[in-house]
Amino acid sequence: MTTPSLIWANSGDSHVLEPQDLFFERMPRALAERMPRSVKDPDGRWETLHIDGNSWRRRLPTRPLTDETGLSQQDKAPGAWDPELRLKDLDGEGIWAELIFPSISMWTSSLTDPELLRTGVSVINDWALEFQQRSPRFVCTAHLPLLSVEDTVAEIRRTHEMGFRAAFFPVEPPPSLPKFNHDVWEPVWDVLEETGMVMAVHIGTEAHDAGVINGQYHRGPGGAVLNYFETSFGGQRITAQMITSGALERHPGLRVMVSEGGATWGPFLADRMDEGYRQHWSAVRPKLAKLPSEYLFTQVYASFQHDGSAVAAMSAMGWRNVCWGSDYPHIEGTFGHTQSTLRGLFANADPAVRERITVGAFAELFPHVPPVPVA
Amino acid sequence: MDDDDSSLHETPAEFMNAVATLTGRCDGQSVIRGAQGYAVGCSCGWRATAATGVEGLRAAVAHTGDEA
Repeated sequence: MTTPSLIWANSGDSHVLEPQDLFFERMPRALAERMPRSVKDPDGRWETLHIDGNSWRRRLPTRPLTDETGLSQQDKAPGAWDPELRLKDLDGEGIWAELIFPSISMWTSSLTDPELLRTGVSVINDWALEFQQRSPRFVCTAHLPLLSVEDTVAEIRRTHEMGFRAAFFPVEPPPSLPKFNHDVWEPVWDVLEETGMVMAVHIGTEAHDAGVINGQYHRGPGGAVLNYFETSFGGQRITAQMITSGALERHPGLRVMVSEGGATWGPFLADRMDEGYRQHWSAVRPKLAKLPSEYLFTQVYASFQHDGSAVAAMSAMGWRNVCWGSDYPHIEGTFGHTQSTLRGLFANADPAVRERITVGAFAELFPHVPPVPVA
Repeated sequence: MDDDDSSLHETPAEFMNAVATLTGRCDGQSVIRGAQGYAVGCSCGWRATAATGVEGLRAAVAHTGDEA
């Protein structure tokens, strides 16, 4: 099969690096000091993260984390900090539009003061909007003050009116609140459906409660790979919660994107949920109008970057909502080898499958984004 | 750029994972506020308590022997 000389692709998973002084620039100092900040020891051997009175101290590695080519994150993406350079990076890679997640903002899951979180979130979103306005190719996710359902609903309305079309969700709510399958979150699902905001979930965002190390940090042989693959499961759990609780049935207009977690988990999870639904029927509550798999195949999307089996999730397993993602500018991403990655992934794929995964699924979620150029 | 390698540009899970896979010894400490003061812990298993966050950090630094 022939492939175009340049494969343009939308990215269902990218990141922006907020300036470290963001909170000190835009919040009263007393509040800014409680927001996430990083301080390195003068000798560069240790780094301490301070978040609302709690601290995490980390021995800095003598060598940065690198990929198999020996490149670190900083080597790889010159446009990580600058929107104009970023567009040059994207053009060079063949990446068109991006669903963009925050970075520093993910650490606000460690905040426990609803008022502080509400104020900090509004600062983050105001800054993210300025970034988004630099190009119609940028689709920034709105951050949410999840410590309060009422605040969350209000921020979804505010950010939608500002121009956001997706809202960032961690894979689980703050530890003080019920999981996402509980009815307390119903007003949030209501407003997401009403506004059309996409529920954009990013893996690896479990609530960061360092008092409990979440029970999923492997040490010893294999640790690096074990820890990476563990981050995949949160996206699957929240998907199952949204489906089995009936949230997606009650809100047929609500769409969920799970980013960076691969894709073949979708058909697998669909099978597992259907099996439980049928075989444990007498215990199943709520009863759904359709099998769980049908909600997954229609209302849930997923992005992957390198996964060799991901194309088959659509071509062989029938999940049309598979979306490619670059993970720019992170080290797990494709910067520097996007075209070779895409060529490898789609070497034997039907052009319609390639078009759907690289362009169509993303465009379905974000129809306001200009179409990709003709290669 | 000075802050290129800030841990805040990793996800919290990536940060904790990195600590867990460094050397397996005293690679990370936490100083966490609780009802009875601050709980101080180290990835080597060492635990302590402190009345304030500042005291907790001081104890963590003393534990690793890396005075800032």
